[in-house]
Amino acid sequence: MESNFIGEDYGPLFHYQYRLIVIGDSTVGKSSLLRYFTEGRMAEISDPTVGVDFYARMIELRPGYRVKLQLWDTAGQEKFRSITKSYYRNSVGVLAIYDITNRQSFEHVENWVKEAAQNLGGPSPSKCVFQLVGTKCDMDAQRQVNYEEGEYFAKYHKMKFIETSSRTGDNVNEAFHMIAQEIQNRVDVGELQPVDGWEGLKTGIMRSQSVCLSERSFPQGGASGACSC
Amino acid sequence: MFRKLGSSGSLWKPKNPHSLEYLKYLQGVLTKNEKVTENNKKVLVEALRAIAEILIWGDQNDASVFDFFLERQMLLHFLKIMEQGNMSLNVQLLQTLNILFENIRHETSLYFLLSNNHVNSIISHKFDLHNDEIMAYYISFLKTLSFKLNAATIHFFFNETTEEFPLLIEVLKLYNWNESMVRIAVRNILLNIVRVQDDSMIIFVTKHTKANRSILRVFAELFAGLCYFVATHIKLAPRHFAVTFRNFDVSQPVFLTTSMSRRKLNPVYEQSSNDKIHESIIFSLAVTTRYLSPLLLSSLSPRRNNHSLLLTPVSALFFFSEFLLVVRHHETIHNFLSSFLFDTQKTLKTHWIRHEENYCLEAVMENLTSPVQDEGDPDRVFFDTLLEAFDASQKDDSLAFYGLMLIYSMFQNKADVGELLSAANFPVLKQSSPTGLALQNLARLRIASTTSMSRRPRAVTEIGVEATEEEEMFHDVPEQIMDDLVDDVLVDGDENSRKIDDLASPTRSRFQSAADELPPNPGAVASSTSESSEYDSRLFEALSSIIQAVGSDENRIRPISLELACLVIRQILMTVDDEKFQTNLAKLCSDVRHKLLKVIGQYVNGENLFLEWFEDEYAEFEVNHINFDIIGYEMLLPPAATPLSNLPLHKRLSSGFEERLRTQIIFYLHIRKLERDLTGEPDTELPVKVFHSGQDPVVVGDCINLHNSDLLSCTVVPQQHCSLGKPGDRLSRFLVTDRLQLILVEPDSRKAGWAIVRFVGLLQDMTISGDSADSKVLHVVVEGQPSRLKKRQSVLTAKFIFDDHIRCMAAKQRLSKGRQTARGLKLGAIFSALGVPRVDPSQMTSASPRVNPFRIVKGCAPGSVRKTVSTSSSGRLPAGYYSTNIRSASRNSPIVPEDPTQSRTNS
Repeated sequence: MESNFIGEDYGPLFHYQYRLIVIGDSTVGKSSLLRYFTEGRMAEISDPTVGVDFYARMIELRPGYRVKLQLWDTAGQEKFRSITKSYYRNSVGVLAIYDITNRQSFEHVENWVKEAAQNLGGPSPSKCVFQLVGTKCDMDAQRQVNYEEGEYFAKYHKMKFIETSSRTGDNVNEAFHMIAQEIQNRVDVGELQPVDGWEGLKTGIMRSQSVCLSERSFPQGGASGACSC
Repeated sequence: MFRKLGSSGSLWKPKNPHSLEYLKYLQGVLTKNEKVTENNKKVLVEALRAIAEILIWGDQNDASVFDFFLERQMLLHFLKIMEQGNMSLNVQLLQTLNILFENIRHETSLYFLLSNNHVNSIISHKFDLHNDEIMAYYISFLKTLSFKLNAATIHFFFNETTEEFPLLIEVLKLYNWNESMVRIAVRNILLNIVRVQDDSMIIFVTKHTKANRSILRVFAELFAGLCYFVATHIKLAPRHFAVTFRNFDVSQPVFLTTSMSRRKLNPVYEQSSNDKIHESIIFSLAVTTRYLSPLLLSSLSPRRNNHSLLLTPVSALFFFSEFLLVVRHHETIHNFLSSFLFDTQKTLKTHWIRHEENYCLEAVMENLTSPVQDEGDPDRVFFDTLLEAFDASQKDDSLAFYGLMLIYSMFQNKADVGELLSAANFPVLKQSSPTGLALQNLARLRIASTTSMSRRPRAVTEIGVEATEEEEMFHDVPEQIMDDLVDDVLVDGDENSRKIDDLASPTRSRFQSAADELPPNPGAVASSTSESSEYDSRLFEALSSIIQAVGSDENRIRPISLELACLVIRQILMTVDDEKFQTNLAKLCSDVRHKLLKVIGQYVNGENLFLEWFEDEYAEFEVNHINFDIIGYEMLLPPAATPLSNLPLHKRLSSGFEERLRTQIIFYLHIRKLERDLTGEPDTELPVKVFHSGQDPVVVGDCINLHNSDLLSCTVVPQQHCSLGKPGDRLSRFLVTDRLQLILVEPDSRKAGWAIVRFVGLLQDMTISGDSADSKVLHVVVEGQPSRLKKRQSVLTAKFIFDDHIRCMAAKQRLSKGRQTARGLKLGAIFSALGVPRVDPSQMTSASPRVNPFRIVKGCAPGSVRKTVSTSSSGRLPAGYYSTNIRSASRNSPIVPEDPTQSRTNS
């Protein structure tokens, strides 16, 4: 059972923290996807995102192994491009979103991916994970982009692909699991690693240590160390 | 501790206020106290205060702090608290937000804070603004936000699609707030808004202008208001308001005016003038009635009320010329300029009056004069002030500089002011029948101005009088027409000039009096026109006086003023074809030039560095310094007289002998150029040429025939990056010298006896010194010639290692001798360019040795006992020895000889 509960105590309840950025044209449903993912239900119609928004959720990749996803939701509107650009640097994963009922949004994915690839940071930007997500898959009647096209595009750009619906919740969790798992794989083989000054990837253990250190300076702080996993 | 264990949300308070733990604790405080009551108020205020502190600390030290802020959506807590409307909490909240926005350095954090209209909802929240404390923090919060505005962040504030711009709207509501600090902040914010380069936002502004006239009015007011603000602050500074420029708060708006108006006011202006609707009139009316007339023009006329607000003449001239450089709105400019050029002080109906702390616009209390009297009073008080500015007897030349700048900007103004200027006898490009046209236009203009600006009515005939009075410069006008016109107005003109004579009070400038007293200049066209030439000659007299002043020993003119004066004179000369004026000016120039030459000539032979000074100043002279976009506040400060001010020499007065001489040289060059321009002679001698025609200097890459030349083989070790290589390279080269150049060549493998040039430097700019540790080594520094683009700097700093000390000595001799000859040649060319008699070289060397003690640093002479040992033995030593030896040598000896110019200034 997964929980969106980030420990009340904000303790080291996770092994890694991944920061992801969600990009794509305006109105493809980036915010809806994120809100479904973090709130567990369909969100009401929302205004276009102004600038950026932030979400976080804990997921369990395998029993007892949890990672925290920090998610930057960005505005798709052109006028915020220069703002959103500054968020790539500290991201380890990129979710490129398009609307399956909007051909153009799919055609623009290439540009989005290109822009992201140019602006990613960290020790090995080329190892950061991209994933293509088609939204609104419940609206099959208005479909303008075939599943195969998305799949082909993803394959061509060596990324994973999934279609989701933020109305029914289909594949929403799976989409995030998929990218988190892929990041985890790359972390496991050492292609990605946390570095100081890069917020894309962080260890939870590290944080617990730092917390412990600060608490050790208090004579009565010993207890909190016990609850670390 | 135990409480913490008990519940995860406990309020256990960590000791370290700068830690994530503490923020967690504070977040707990906020969640526990969602509802604000009297009891928890204090705790919450303290929590909000501490949150700001931690977040700023975290921004700089620990990224996880802001992560926590993000994850817990703490901004929403803030909004919830704000909505509960508790006064003291809101004060603290605004303060916290203010601190956050002002200090957060990570742009991602800042953008997050600005995102999703949170800030907009704070801006449009109905705070109790009648509470002084809330107001103070609210307005400074808005101000802080406005400083974060740029082309990227504007979209957080301004929503194009929904046409929402809360910051602008809220700020406009406070435009007339009864507290001056608020009003000032509002203006500041508005400026920050319009400074942003975003077309849709400007369209929003202009669009709303159409719908709602008040916004445009606000902008006009803004302009005036800003100047008013500046003006009130200027009062704090005793002499030059620019002193306060050092104070950030004041300088900012002033520069904002400049930058804003340069970029942003124009679109507004153009928009409104294109629309040809009321707004433009309102706008121009507002600017004129609030700013131009009561402030600028008042400042240029004698004080009439002890409490009136006036700018110093320098600042008035500055703002005036800025205005002219910026604004193109036809009507405004025409009205303004015509009052400036022709009107009397009576045209000022209002002025700013101080009432204790505040200033307000008041009508001038004066006996209303009848139009008839008005007509008979041709005293052009503002114009006189301009002319007075050129009085070189003043303590400094700032006034003159800005007077010149004003004339310059009149010429530059794009609002088609040609006719107006010609009417004032400012010579400008004229049409085929200028007089008629000018008069017509002027008449039309006057009528327009009288109707739209409710000025006092004036008869068209009277304008005719005025225009013809100053008709002297219209030389391409057929004599007949001229005479007719003059005949018509002769009586009036006579009367007028007599009145001027009567009015010539001691306060008038000396040009005025001089012009009044002087009989028509000999050689002048002693016709009816001479009488009406008065104003005109005054302008020219004034300009000439600057030239004149340059010639005097104790002048206070800065080179940049002279440069501007020359520029203005040239502009005038481009359109005026006046023999007499030209010859007079040329004569004056030649006088001044000779005076300067006399001063310079004294030192030409005696000063070893004269060559460098001359070349430096010539390079400086070729740079155009007159660019009002980059002339900064430094010109508004009282003229500095010391290099400690960090200003380049041309923007300050000289200090000490060297600088005085340099200044004289640059004066000389300007005057010489002007004189040549006047007489139409091309200058063949400057820039100084030492290469004969047809004999081009060798350049890098050339292949030259070295058959039968003296070649010295050497290893060149660059000590700094240069065209030859990087430090530490060892390059085999041959050293050659010609009459003027030091050349390093590499043999051409294809042609025997030929070589490819790898480096060329002028012998005159070369410094050599021996090496105390190695007699086979010469340290050579070659400087590049100064040019318009770059200052003198070394192009080669290298160690030349020769095969043995004999060759080294030979090279040294050849180089020093070559240097001497090269300098002699160059100086000779300068002498002939200046027309200074050259002292016989042999005599010269005895009188003042040409060997520059600073330039040639004598090392240990090759052949001295110590050296002989090392050199004689070195031949047999393995190659490794060389390098160690060289390395130690370079460590011990000064690689770069002392900078001669520096030692000069020290001495």
